[in-house]
Amino acid sequence: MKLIFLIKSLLASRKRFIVLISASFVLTAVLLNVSIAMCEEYYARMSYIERNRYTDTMERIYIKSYSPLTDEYVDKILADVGLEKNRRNSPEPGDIPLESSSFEDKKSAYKFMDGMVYDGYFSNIYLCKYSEEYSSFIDTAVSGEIPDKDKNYDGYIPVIAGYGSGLNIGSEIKSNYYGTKTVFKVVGKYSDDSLEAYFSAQPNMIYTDEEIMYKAGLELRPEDQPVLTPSPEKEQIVGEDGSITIISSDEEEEVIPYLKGYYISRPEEMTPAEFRARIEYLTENEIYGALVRANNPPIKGRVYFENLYIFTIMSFPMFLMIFIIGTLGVVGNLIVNADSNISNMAVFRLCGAKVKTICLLTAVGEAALTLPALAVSLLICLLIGLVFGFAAISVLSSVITTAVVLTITLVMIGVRLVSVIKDRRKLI
Amino acid sequence: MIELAGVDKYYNYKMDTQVHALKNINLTIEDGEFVAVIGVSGSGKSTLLHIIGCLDTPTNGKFILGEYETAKYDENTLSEIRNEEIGFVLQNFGLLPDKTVYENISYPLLFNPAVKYKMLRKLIKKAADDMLIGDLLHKKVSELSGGQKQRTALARAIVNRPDVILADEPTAALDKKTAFEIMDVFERLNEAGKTIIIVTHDRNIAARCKRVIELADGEIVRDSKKGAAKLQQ
Ligand SMILES: Nc1ncnc2c1ncn2[C@@H]1O[C@H](COP(=O)(O)OP(=O)(O)OP(=O)(O)O)[C@@H](O)[C@H]1O
Ligand SMILES: [Mg+2]
Repeated sequence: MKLIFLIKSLLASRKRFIVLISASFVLTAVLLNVSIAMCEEYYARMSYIERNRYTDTMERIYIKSYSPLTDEYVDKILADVGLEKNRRNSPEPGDIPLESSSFEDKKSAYKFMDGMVYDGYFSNIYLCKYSEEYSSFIDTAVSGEIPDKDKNYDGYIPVIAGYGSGLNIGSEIKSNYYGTKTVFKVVGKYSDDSLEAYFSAQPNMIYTDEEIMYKAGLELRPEDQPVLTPSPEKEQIVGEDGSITIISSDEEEEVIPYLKGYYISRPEEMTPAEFRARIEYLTENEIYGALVRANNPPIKGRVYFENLYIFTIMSFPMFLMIFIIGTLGVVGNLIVNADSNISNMAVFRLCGAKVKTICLLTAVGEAALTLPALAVSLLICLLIGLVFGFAAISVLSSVITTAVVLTITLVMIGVRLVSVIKDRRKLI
Repeated sequence: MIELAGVDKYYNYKMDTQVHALKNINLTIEDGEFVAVIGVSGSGKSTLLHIIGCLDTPTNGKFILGEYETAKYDENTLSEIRNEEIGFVLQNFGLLPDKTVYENISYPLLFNPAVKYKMLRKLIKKAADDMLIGDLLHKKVSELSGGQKQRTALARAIVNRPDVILADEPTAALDKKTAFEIMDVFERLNEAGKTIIIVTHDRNIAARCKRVIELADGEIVRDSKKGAAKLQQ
């Protein structure tokens, strides 16, 4: 009780510029929090991709086959050429042109993060269905909902729209393509192009889970699809059956019933050169009836990472600002309150305060300035997060911010103690 | 009883800037004495008072304050002794100007573990009433007159009921009339049994004390008791 009385008395003598100094501490902590949280999100994504998806090389290949191309079959082909540990996904299990009601003849620009712009008119929308493998990609980049294969959707097929798409969450696309009228409803949308860029997605593409298509009876599972007999007489047969595009090629004078596109990433233990050599080998040789072609040019997994450098450069002024504002707060506090603090402590000493009491009061005096500022800043960050819906705070950012503020507090206590002990006789 | 035996005080000991502020001081002050310490500026008056007040320690020699031999104690124990045994009054009042009279008087009690928070109000009120400033308790010190400030300092000096009151030029910042009023207060305190030591360069003030010690260049050059002087006559 006596201590509280003393602390109250001590703090009351700190009126000058107290609002400004507190504000600078609050601002410092808020900026620190926001920038760490933002960095964290970016680095988490980067490491997620690095860990789960691609090392730094990726190739797009097409596999042709006379037998149905099930995932197991493709795995086997790749394993036979030593690519068994790669991570692959099939970005375009099937393109289905849909007649669009809301998207027709609309000009759309699709912007990639690296500045590339795809600009054009689209009269059709292409439906891509994605596999299990692919679905674990989307979660980091989609706003809204992700189609849930276990959920019952009432009368519509849930889809995700592309980043640059004119479609928004809630948009509906009606199609007669399947014989009956089918409604596709946009439930989610890519919030940036970073991941979508991998799949050379166009603004006129929509995505949904292949299970949903199978369940709705709009698609046949690969194992249920009929094996087509090659018919060399026919010049060209083009048909779609969902996950498989059937193309007959003039040059090869035969019908190639199954063709599937894949992105294949370099297995970790393989050098980029070795990886390329395997792909070339696959490309040049027909293995197990499969003809594999490398996509040209190969897509580099680094595309997305490079954009992080921009972020890093941008974050430098942010940290500079944090540093300047924080320093202003610390120095301002130390200068402005120096005299009153020393005379307070000298009077306390005269009145019989012990050294340890003086140290304690000094410490509490500084902490009483920074700790509430810390609490306020964390609250502000939570509010920013709630109102603007972006990650202004995280566990890591609040831990780091707390550590930084505590360090600042300790430094200020240290400086204060030195000056108090040095000038303790000033009064007399 | 206050006893100094062979006390030396050096500032910046063994450095280029060394100052020999007190030289071989031998001095005994009995309980209840009313002492003036006089001397020219720089003669070591304040230094002597700081040693007696446990704000500073002698470089050499022995200093005994009542039951304590202070050279044996660390700074924390000295703080305790200061808190319980000594009240200070300073020339520039040594008060916190932006605080109320009440708060300023409260500090010695706040640092005294024997005093409970509940007792604060009563003790402060009593000390303030004693110094005739009972109605100023909630005024800020910066709003007081010089005399009222010194009375506040006196109230703070006595609030813990110390046996010894040390005053360094307590009247220097006051006009003559107010200075004499403050001296009345010291006299009253002395009559109540307190040991009082006042540092002053004002001979009129010194004349009101019962014993006058004169310092020159860190040495005691005169020590005269009124009673003794009368006896000699
Ligand atoms: N903290 C200090 N560091 C170094 N020297 C000091 C210190 N305090 C006092 N002195 C020196 O010690 C000597 C005695 O000083 P002291 O303050 O005791 O004198 P004083 O008699 O009180 O003078 P005044 O009447 O001016 O207050 C002086 O020469 C002074 O310069
Ligand atoms: Mg002096």
